[in-house]
Amino acid sequence: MTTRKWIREMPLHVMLIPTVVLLIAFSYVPMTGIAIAFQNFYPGHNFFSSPWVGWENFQYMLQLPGTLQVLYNTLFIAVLKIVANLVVPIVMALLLNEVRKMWFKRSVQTIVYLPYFISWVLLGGILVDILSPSQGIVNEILKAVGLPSVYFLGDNHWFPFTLVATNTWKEFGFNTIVFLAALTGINPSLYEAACIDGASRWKQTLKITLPGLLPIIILLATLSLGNVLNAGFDQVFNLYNASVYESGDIIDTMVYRIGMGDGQYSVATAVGLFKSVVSFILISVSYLLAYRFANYRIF
Amino acid sequence: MHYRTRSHTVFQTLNYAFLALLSLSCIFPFIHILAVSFSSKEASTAGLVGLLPVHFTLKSYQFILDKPEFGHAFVVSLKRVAIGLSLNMLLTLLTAYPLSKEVKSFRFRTGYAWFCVFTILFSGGLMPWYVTIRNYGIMDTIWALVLPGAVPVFNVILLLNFFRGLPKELEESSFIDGAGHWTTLWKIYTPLSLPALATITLFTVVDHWNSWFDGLILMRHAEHFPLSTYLQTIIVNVDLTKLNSVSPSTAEMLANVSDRTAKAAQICVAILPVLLVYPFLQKYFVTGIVLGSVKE
Amino acid sequence: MAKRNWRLAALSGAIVLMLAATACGKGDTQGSSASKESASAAPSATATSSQETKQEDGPLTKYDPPIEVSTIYWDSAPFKFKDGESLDNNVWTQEYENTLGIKLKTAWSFFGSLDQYIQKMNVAIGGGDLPDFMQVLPAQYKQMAAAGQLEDLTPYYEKYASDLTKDILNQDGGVQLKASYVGGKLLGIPHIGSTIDGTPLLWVRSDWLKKLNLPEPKTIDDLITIADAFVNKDPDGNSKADTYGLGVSNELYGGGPGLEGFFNAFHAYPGGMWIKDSSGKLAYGAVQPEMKTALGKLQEMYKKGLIDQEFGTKDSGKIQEQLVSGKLGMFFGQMWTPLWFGDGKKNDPKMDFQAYALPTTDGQPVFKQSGFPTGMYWVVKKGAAHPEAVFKLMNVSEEKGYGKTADATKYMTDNGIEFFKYAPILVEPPRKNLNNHLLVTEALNSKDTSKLNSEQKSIYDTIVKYQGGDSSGWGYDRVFGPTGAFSVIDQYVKNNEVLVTEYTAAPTESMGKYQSTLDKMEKETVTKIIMGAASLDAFDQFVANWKKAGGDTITKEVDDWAATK
Repeated sequence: MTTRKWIREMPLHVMLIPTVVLLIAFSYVPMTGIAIAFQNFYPGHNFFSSPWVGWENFQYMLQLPGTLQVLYNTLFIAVLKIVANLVVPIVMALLLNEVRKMWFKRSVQTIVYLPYFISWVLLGGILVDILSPSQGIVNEILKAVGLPSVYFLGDNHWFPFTLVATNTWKEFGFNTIVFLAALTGINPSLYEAACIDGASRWKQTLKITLPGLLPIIILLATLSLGNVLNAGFDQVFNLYNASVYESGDIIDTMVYRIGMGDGQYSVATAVGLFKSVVSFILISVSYLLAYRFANYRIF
Repeated sequence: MHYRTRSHTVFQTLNYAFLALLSLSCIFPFIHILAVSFSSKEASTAGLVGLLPVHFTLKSYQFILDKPEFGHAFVVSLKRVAIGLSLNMLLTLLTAYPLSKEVKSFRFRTGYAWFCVFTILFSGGLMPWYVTIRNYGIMDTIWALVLPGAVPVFNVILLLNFFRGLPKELEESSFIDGAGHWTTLWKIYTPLSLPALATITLFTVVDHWNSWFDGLILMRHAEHFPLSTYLQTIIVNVDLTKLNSVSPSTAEMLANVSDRTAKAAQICVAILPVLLVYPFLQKYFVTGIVLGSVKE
Repeated sequence: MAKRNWRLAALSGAIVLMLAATACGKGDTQGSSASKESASAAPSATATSSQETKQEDGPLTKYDPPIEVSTIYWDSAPFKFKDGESLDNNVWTQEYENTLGIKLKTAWSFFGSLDQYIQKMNVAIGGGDLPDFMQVLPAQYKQMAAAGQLEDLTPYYEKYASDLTKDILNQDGGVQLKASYVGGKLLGIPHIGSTIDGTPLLWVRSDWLKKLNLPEPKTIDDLITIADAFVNKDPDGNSKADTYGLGVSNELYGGGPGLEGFFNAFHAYPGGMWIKDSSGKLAYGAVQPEMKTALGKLQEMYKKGLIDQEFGTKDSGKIQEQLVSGKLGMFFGQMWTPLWFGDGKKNDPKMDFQAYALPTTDGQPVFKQSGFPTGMYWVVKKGAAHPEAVFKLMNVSEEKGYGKTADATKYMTDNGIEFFKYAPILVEPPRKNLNNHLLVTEALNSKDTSKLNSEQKSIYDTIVKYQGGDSSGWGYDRVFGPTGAFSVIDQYVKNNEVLVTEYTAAPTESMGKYQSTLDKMEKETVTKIIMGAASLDAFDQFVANWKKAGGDTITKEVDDWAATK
């Protein structure tokens, strides 16, 4: 019995051989470098020959002034981004799904996918103009509607939301694609049956489309938990400035600053390890919860 | 499937208007960059270009043609996408299929799954990654750009979930017909997963086309940079204010380096290939395939 | 401080010579035939000298058989080459191979921003993946020294550095060379930089001054009057309130628009400067009480609208935009800035800028600050087969660049192609730019160009053309011309008003740990105070925080260093 099982499963193991080899070679082997998070790493040494310092690198980060604020900023911005990057593309996919004119659907899809390819360096310069309180078009619109103008990139109350909004705008087109693909997997006969039952379009969306998307939504939500401490280095680095350090400084920009002054290999590794552990815990917990309560394996 | 209710008409009108406005906001920066690329250097440095070119000129496109670096980088990127895409797709299929099995038919699937997922959560950091790749002797070659990321775990998870959504009867009837796992994967699973595969293909192409950091660190010679790395090196402004003393010739050179028209033109040309790929793949998830007809 | 300093010469890098492409359009037939001649003449001249020293290995002894030496090339933009030349085969690699028997090998090359280059280098250094010799930043120099990655060059310096090389390395009185010793060992060759080129100047649009009938900026009050007029009296005459007073970027300090000059007027020295306090101890400039007075004035100016209300989001690129579009008429900056926004002259031929000495607040002499000029060090990898080769290479570079057999059109610049960039180790004389100004000015007065070298001659030609009505030479006239930036810097030097930072070594351990955090605190506080988002008294809180967050530790280390000097 067991032998037969082995034989039956053999091709599956064989299929996985290249993957296992490559992951060991390019992911697990470099992971030994995590050791330097607990060392005072000397450049040019191997990963186990520098002096061990225990938790000193973690303590160093914690005792720097403003670390807690930075941690808070990171979480705040990252969580808002995760939510927005799920909700907006889903809504977008549903709206596109309602469009019957094919040329319109295709054009919109192609156009909203454009901003994804413009780097933050470039977008940074453009956004400073668009969002300027005195000359920017966004504030012109606000003023025309009778609202006060807002210093989006220079005001600590607005800055985190500006980050989330611009990031969502840049990426929703790209993120929508995966939901559009998932929509194609929903069995059309379900809609036909609903139609015969006289269900309205809105009812169908609620009763058929959304449940059909649910597995992919849960999957993406779980995986995005891994980003709970990634608030987006490129974006923040190109948009923030001294007047919004208070609300905009994140872990990655902090590590970058420290590393640029002095190649602090150990500190950067320690921070990376911290982020990994947090993501690992969050993802494992949601995996287990989904399995326990819904008997569903996310991956 | 026709809805003639009044509320639906209102909704449709609003929906079209909203999507049109949204598209407008997305296309605006791109038009601006395009306008800059066709403007004169003086006008663009003065920030005078909005949505239309000022002092129309093709000079910056001429500049690209004269620039060997751009051409080199373009070829490297094409090579990277070609090799990277084939490798990624093959490994994604080979990995997603076994992992999509239930525990009862493949006892080790969960172990393998965590083995894969673990690699997206933990990494040794920049320097160990660099040292490893150097030790393998593939630095400065195209393999340094495609092998380390050869197993795209995120895409594997997407695909395995899609595979699970396929009707079980298909697999069973395939086995009854005497097909093994390999045949089932190629003949049944792959053709049925075209929307998912199209999505993953797009992700992979875009990812290889856009990745710049690995090129920056792993390529020893500037002429081996892929296009995105090369673009990154020209786009990032050399921050003059950070320099204590700049020689006059540096200042003059940097005034030219900061030429926005040339940057804009190179960006436009660099985006083109990924834009062209999109419509080809788009049809798979705009229309979708009708699973019902296969099902019978 | 380190941060600012290593960026300094970093970029000016190997850049030594300039030749405006316009200036040398003519006369290339002459140039190319001359270079052919010298190409055949040069090796034989050095060959004889190396034969004489054949018995004993010396500064120019040829390796036989030839050796291979690897290094790294970096610049902000890719090098240009003559047809048939490349990084591995050009006038300099041929020269090294012919005279020294050294084949240069490119370990890697990178063309892009300094930050990206640092990332690339940090990884290579961390992984121990080093070429035979390379240029590194002060922080990396210190770190590599501590890790034992560097070869001790002390014995080789004496034996292999030529007299010219030694002379150039000691032109500043040996300060920078001395500062390069770590624990009594010379582990790297300092890239000697200039202490005068980076001093701050006040740049004002002179055509606007005339038009609005304004005084020259002698005092800060004059400056405020001018700023007020530039904002409120429509200097560009378009009947729109779209012009700015004093240009400030969100980086606050630096060579483009940088506030150092403003602070210096108040005897305050931010931007990483270490100064002697009244007790003779070293103190950090940015936390001294003079800063507060200057900040009060800036806050007042901002409130009156004399500083762009949105400067917090405007980087130097946006300032360049304002200058080129003719919206900004005044800023503090270094001598090279007109070359950076020269496009403005093309947009508006009436535009003109004049450099002024820093204004005063109290009639006392105003000292102009200058960071520590060594931006980089050349280091040799521990265990390199020929550690002395780096000096031999330098000997040849200096000789062909600035020695008796120097030939600028062959080795430095010709037809807009800058050959000097291919030389992996080359130091320009620190006073070079000032001398160029003095000699060119003299020649402009006497019409006698016989004393000018080819670099100076091309500046001369450009300025003569500019005076004849060709506006493309405007930038060079504003930098090197008779009334250009260097005429002001010349006065600084003559009056002994250049203040160089007192701390001249590689960053201390605590600087590595805390400087970036302290810099961020400083930038945030200064920005907020100017914008009125924080009261002026927030400065006192900042000083207290600064001390607590590592500032006191750094000061102690700096004091200890000063004691051992």
